[in-house]
Amino acid sequence: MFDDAPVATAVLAARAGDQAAWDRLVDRFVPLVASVVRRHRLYGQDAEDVSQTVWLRLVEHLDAIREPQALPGWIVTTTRNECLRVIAARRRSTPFDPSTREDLADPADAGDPDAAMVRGERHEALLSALGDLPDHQRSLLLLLMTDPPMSYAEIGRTLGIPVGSIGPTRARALQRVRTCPDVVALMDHDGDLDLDRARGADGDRRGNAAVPEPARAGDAGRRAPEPPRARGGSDPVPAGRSRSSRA
Amino acid sequence: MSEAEGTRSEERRRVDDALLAEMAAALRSAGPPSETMIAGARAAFAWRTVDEELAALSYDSRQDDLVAVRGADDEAPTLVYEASALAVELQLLDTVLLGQLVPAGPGEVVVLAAEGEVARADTDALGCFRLPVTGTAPLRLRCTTPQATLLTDWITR
Repeated sequence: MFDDAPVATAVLAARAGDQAAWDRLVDRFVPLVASVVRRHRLYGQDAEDVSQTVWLRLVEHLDAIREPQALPGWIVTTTRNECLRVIAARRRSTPFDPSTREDLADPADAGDPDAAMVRGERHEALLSALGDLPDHQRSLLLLLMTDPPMSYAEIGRTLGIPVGSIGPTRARALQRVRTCPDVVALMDHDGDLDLDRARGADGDRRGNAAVPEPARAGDAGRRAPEPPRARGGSDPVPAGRSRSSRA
Repeated sequence: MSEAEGTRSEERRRVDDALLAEMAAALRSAGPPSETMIAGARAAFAWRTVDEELAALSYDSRQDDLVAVRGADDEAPTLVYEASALAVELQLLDTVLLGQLVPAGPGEVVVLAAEGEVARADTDALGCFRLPVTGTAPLRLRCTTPQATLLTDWITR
């Protein structure tokens, strides 16, 4: 229950041949694969082919993982590459009509593929962080996100934990998500980690400097619609795209 | 609790709620993974025990397609997989795999899907072979000659 590095532990055990550990990795990261596939608008057989290929490749990549924290990034990159390959193959076999091109689009983002991209990356960062949480935190967040919502009493019964521990565990889990490097890097697009603002700021993020804000608790800088303060020359993280550099 | 502390915890709760809502949206838009996806992902682990030499992809004509303007890709994709003592060149047609072993010579080629063998053929004296393939699921080849064995990485079409 206090396993603080569940992914590293599962990777090591899977490497040693433990099928149950592999299954845990699958459970943790299947939503991440599905998210990337969905973002590329692949469904049915295409989606299943991509997913299958990613996991087959991961089996052979296990020994090469030096830093388990890099696993979600590897999964995203590999899935994206397989999606692009499938899309290219479909184009080879069907006449190309630019007016029906929809590989990266989302109906909600018609006409703004940039917003779709940012939303997709943010979702993938959050799913990466979720997959990386210790079991007790991850199980709790999953129950807190059910629709319709479960009461704390039901959740407590389901997980066999005191109701009084739910709030603090939730807060610790979310804090861990918030400080996950993937999440930090992407929220920096908006110059702010405030998700309320980030959600509405997809379209105008370009002018914002990246201002990493790792110590954010109680920070008055989050009073919302103000533009982010630029701290001259102190960007430890280049604006954007940390994921691609980790491929 | 002081008023400032109250405001802080109020603010923290608002930010936490927003984060959780965004994560729920991410899960929703990923959609529930299909049983097939999960079963396939779990079963992939059976390939963990492979102990042959894996042949890496050394050439893929489709890489050019990804960056080139469409039009140069009318030909079937060509792939080359190389291990230390044996290589295989492949052409991916819609329902057929055409290939040749390098160095040229007699041998046997087996097509493997995630679940196991789906086709096999002997090569001719020049190492050429022709194998039927169906569907679009990932495949790999095990090529065996009197001198060497090679297992390709997963091939997607």
